[in-house]
Amino acid sequence: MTSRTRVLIGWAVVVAILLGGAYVIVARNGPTAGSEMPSVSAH
Amino acid sequence: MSSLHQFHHTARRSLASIVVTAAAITVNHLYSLGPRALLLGGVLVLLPTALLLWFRRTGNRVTLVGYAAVGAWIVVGFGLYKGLWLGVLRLFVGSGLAVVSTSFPKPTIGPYPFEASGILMFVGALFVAHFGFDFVRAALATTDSEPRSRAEGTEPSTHRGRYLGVAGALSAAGVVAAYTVAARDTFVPPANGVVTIGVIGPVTGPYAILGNSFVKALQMALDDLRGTRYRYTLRIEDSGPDPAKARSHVKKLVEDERVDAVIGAVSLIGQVTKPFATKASIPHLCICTVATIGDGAYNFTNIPSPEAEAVRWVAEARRRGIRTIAILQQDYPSINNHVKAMKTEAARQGLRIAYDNRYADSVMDFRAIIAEAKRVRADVYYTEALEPQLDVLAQQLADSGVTNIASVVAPSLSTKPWLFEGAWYTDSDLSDMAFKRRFEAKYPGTQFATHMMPYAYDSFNLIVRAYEQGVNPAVYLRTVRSYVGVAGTVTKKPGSGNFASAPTVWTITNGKPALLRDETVSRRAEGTDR
Repeated sequence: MTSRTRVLIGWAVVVAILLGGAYVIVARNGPTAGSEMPSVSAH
Repeated sequence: MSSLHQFHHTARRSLASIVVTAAAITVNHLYSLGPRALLLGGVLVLLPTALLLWFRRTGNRVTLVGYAAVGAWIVVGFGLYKGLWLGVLRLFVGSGLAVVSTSFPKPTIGPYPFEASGILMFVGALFVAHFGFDFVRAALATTDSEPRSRAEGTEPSTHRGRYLGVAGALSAAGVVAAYTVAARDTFVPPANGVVTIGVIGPVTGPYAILGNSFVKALQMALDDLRGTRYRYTLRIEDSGPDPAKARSHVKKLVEDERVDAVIGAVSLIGQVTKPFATKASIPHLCICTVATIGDGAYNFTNIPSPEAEAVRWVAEARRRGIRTIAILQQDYPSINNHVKAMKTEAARQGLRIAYDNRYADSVMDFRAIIAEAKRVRADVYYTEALEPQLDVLAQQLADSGVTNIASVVAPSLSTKPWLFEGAWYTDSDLSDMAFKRRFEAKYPGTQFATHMMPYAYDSFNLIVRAYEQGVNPAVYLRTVRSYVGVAGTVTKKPGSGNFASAPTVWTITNGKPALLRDETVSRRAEGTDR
């Protein structure tokens, strides 16, 4: 396994953990309606 | 690898990372900008593409600076600020801190596509930074008379990865520490020792009865203060009945005048106030029934929940031998919540809904609806509406001979309560009837709306209590589990944004609201209780 492959796998794992963690948090605490969205503007 | 080959290779990777990140930015901003987010995404893709092509054709370094500037905008503005600080840190670190301590607010969580695209904005920005740096270095090498050795693809030193790892870990720790400090709500003594509490509610229009007595209850709470460390003032703002127009009033109060806390009335206005209070990190106590307004971070509701009203209402209905119900209700959020909860509880207890009519708030002639409802011969007519429809409906029910009326709250808001003579309804319990007598003596022309007054009074005192104890008021509200006020004992579960209290049954007797338990005692004393 080349170092480039290892780096790619590392990034994929990090992103998967972040997206999976976000899914769990949203499922537990997320909004039931779009009106609950945090409001942000283009800076 | 030649410097020209290196130039093209790094340019492709840099542009590809920008395009992918721009896609995440577009998805993320669909939630705040709507379709205009597509315009933003288009600019983020087309502008660097044009600058890159221009640079390739002319070698003009100004275009290279422009390209780097767009990259920096994506990295700093969207990746680090929105993606990392407002996205990843809020979602993961913010949620974790809120579990550990009430000094930290529960963050507002958006839908999954919003949160996921925020994460991808941050990750994508790291690639934009990395590939952009490589590209600029390669581009400079192609334009330099003496190409730099690193641009020729010199292998990095064996220590480079280790240094980057250590630097990355230290940076991450520093950023998390900074976020923790920034997210923590600490007590700030009020400027000049004066705490300004914003009061927002509709004191004009159809909610004027509620709004006016709500404001008066707060004024009474202020007048009742004795020997406090700080001075307290109320900044009263009429929101009007229209939520769309209320926004400017809330903004004025929270953002322009920077009040220290907000006490609001009516769910429709509470929904408008909620994001402003969150953004300003100030507590907002809403005397309203829509539970989702109370997020347990900065927003709290303080009034009996529709579910609590429903349990009490159905228990009373069963006690009276009621088996079937006809519903005549106005279409309004808090009324809809009352009816929904009542239907659920009625079904659970085996009561049948024989007739169900939710009419628009423009309806003023109920005679056809009443005639239709009468045909099902229900045991009780559940009626709930706001003024002016409420009294019109009551009059038309009386005219058609309907007297078996029950409700949640509504008769206490009527300007002509005698139209509901004999009706029973659930409403806030008033453990201290002296409070009502004091209110009516102090404000003889103001109707006492039982539903909100004691909670408005107690909510003011909760904020005062926080300041007097030197505790951030939002943290105090998150921490408090119960309090005893004029509304009796009110409790709150850990993490909840809803103060819970038990309603009781009232009747309209001799044209006025009276507690059923007092009436029962009175009838027993007279020997007329059945």
